[in-house]
Amino acid sequence: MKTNASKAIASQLCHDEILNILQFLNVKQIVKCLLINTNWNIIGSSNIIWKPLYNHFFMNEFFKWDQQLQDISKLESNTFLPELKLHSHRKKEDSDIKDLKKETNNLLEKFKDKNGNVNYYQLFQFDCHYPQINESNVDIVDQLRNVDSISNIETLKQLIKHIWKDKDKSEWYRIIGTSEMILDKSNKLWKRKPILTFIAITLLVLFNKKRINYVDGIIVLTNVKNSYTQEQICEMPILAFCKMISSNEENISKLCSKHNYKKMTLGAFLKVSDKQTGKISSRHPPKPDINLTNLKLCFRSKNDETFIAVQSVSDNMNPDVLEFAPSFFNAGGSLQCVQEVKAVLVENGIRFEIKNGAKYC
Amino acid sequence: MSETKQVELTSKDKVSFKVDRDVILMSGLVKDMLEEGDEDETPIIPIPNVDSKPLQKVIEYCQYHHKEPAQEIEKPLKGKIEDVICDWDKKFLEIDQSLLIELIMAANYLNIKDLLDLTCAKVASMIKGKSPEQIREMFGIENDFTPEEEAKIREENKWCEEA
Repeated sequence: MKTNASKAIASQLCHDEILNILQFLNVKQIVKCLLINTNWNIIGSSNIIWKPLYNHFFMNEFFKWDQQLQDISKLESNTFLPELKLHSHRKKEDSDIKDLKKETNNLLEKFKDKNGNVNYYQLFQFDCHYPQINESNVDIVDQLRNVDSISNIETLKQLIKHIWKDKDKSEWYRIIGTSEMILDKSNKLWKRKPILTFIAITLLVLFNKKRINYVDGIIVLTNVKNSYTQEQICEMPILAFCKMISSNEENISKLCSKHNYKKMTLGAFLKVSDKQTGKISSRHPPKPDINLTNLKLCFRSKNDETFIAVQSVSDNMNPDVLEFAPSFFNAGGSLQCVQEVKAVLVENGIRFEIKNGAKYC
Repeated sequence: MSETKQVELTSKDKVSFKVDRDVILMSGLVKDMLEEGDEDETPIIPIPNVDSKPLQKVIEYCQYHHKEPAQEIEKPLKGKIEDVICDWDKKFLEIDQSLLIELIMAANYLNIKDLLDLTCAKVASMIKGKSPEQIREMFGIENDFTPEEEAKIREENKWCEEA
């Protein structure tokens, strides 16, 4: 029988030894070890542990993170902010970008020690942690957190509408407003991320279970070595994943082309009209960043008045792809959706008819 | 006349072990000491930080892996440790917990990287799936956090728990 004295020998492990043990653990386990005692906490939160982990998660070959947080100059060029410049309030928005740069710089200072070195543990935590949430929006956030629970389009649309109507400025501002509303203002980097894109892309990839899997709140990226084995590249909390892919337009393009999906159509079904007027509730709707006619390439209606996602011929060969968003597109994609989509299309001068009930062309 | 050169290691508890020089050169520490020292017939090297029991295991490890170099264990550990190490290593690790910890310290002191990795990976695999409380209990580590400190760390790392 082991005595406490013989067990307590583990307390004599030195820094190098603890470090070596921690290096064999994954993020979740390392974080648990931070709670063992002060010694394990100090070693477990050191850059020797977290810098490689940060690089592994956020600068992996799967998605290039572009070192945004370290290189502020890239923040604007690779995000959706350039689109902002096309809108009518250019001057105002330019100054907003400046403000954002300033805010972001201030924020980054928090991750640096007095010698100017980045604290990778804090940086990792910042990139991975769920943003602070305003208590008044807990319901929405719960739904966002449990993305896999959004299994039908009605829930998603409801969610988006809730977000959508919050601000009455330009489309962009409504999206920003969303982030502001849902996310605590301390999360400056989130402030201008279009949350709708997060949702759209997350859903897109979540339901396409080829190389990206969503298990118990974690995204697992895998690399298929051959038809039998899959090599796990990395795993990360879902919001970190959304943040990662949506921060870089190139990533989105890459994802879309990988899944044989037109990037321009991504936002189409998300442009929900105002329920009362049947129109987009913006006085000067911005030029859509999507080609709405592509919408019909993505869906076809079924006799029971529901939508089904259209598969491209090549995808039909892959049984995984046949599952593409089945519950998402089919469960709640009712005629009501067609009417709403129609309103959007008409608003944008695109001919759209509903024939034989659910059919459209 | 080509008799293998030997080295005598003396443990903390004054037990001597004669080992082939080529074998024990796997230890970075011993290698450095032998390079610095005179060319004695059978140099005696004191290992004051390591007891005879773990030292014997270290020698056993070196004797085997001198001929059969160990395969590197990937960090972080994917899956079970048993799946990534050879049968000999599996058998080698069938030891009690305190000897395992002593082996980690011995491997670190003697600078034998492969043995350090093997034993640390074993401890890591024991930690897997355990709560901080269970880990403390398993290794007899005292919790020196104040309740406030512990609560703060838990709060900081909520993202990971929720995920």
